Amino acid sequence: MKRIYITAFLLIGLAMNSNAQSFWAINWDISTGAGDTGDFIGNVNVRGASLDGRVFINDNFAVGGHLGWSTLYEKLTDLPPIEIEKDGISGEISGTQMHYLNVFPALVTSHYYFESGNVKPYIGLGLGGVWTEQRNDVGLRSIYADSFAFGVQPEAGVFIPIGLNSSGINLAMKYLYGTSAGDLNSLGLFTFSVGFAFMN
Amino acid sequence: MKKTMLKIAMVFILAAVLVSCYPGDDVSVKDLDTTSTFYKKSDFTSPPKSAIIYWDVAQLKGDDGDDIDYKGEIDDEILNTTLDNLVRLYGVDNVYIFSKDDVLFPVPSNSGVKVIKFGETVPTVDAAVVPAIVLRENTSVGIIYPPCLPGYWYWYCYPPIVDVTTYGVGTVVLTMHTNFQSGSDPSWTALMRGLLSSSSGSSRTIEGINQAFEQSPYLN
Repeated sequence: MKRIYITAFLLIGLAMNSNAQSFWAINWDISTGAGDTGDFIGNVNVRGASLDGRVFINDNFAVGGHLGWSTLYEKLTDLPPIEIEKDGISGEISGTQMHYLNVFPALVTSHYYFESGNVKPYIGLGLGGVWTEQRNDVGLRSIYADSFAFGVQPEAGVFIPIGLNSSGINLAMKYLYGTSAGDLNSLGLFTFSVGFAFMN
Repeated sequence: MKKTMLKIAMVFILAAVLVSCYPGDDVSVKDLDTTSTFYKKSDFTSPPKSAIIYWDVAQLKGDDGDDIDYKGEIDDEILNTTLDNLVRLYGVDNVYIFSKDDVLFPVPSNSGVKVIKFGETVPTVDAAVVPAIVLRENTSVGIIYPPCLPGYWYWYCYPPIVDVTTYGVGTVVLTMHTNFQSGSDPSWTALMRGLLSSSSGSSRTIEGINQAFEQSPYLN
């Protein structure tokens, strides 16, 4: 995973110091879980942010990095009891459950920008690592697990210029998939991003 | 323009940090209630067909006097909700009340249940249920040995209550014994946590005890 971070930092450094055209976006991320993640937290959560940096290799193709942080939360009542088994004693615990999920993807990305005038639609793919922290609070008890897994994130979006200096709005739809790792099942996260972006 | 974007980015990141990793709605006292049940599978290979309930709520106190003030405010709910569930499980003819007092208080919700009073012969039953409530602050022990009370009972006193987790003050404890050898651990323990925490304790007690029986289908 260190290689991914080093590559990401190199790409960001390259983008900041070169004369190549670059793209930066700071996004507000609205996310909802899918698959096993959706079973754990099924509602739409608006606590998320991400940073995208890309440098263009040619007119249409860009490589870069993606850093994100999404916090998902759901309060659930009337769930079946949690079953436990320890030292020959079996048991069940029931009560209101507070489900929390923090997802931190760090991805190396590549994007293809379509030729369509000032508005620039794009598709892309990110590969890298995802750190996931999951917590289930039942009363004053807490069940915690975290993992660092391989992640892949296909993405489709559009950059809409507004005003001067090539600044604009970035809109994107992403699906982040993280492999199962540690005590956690695979991660699935649909995200709609809206953010400030600029190209130079 | 870059400076402007950087400023916006800083505000954005700061806002993200401020919302923190663990957001939440308002959490009511009821949201912190939990019902935990623990049992020994080997004691329920042949489920009980009859039961007796001790008609009193043992108050589990400490030696330091640092207990919460409790005057039996939810004894009625504890005893009668437990009784109702036992009747539902085993039928009114197979459930008994054991009382050390001639006059029962609170009044049993089911008048069809036979009452065994002090000095009378206790019928042979498969299970005995003892209710208790934790009044001691910061109680966290392995086994609680309640004080002995006068009168005939299987153990001449309340049986020991096994602590499988940390007790909170106000926790209602139900133990069911299917092995009547002196000193044996309960076969089933139910912990309804936090029921004395607010004025809604009465309804929460009923909900908690009903939940304990509901999530323990192996009891019959």
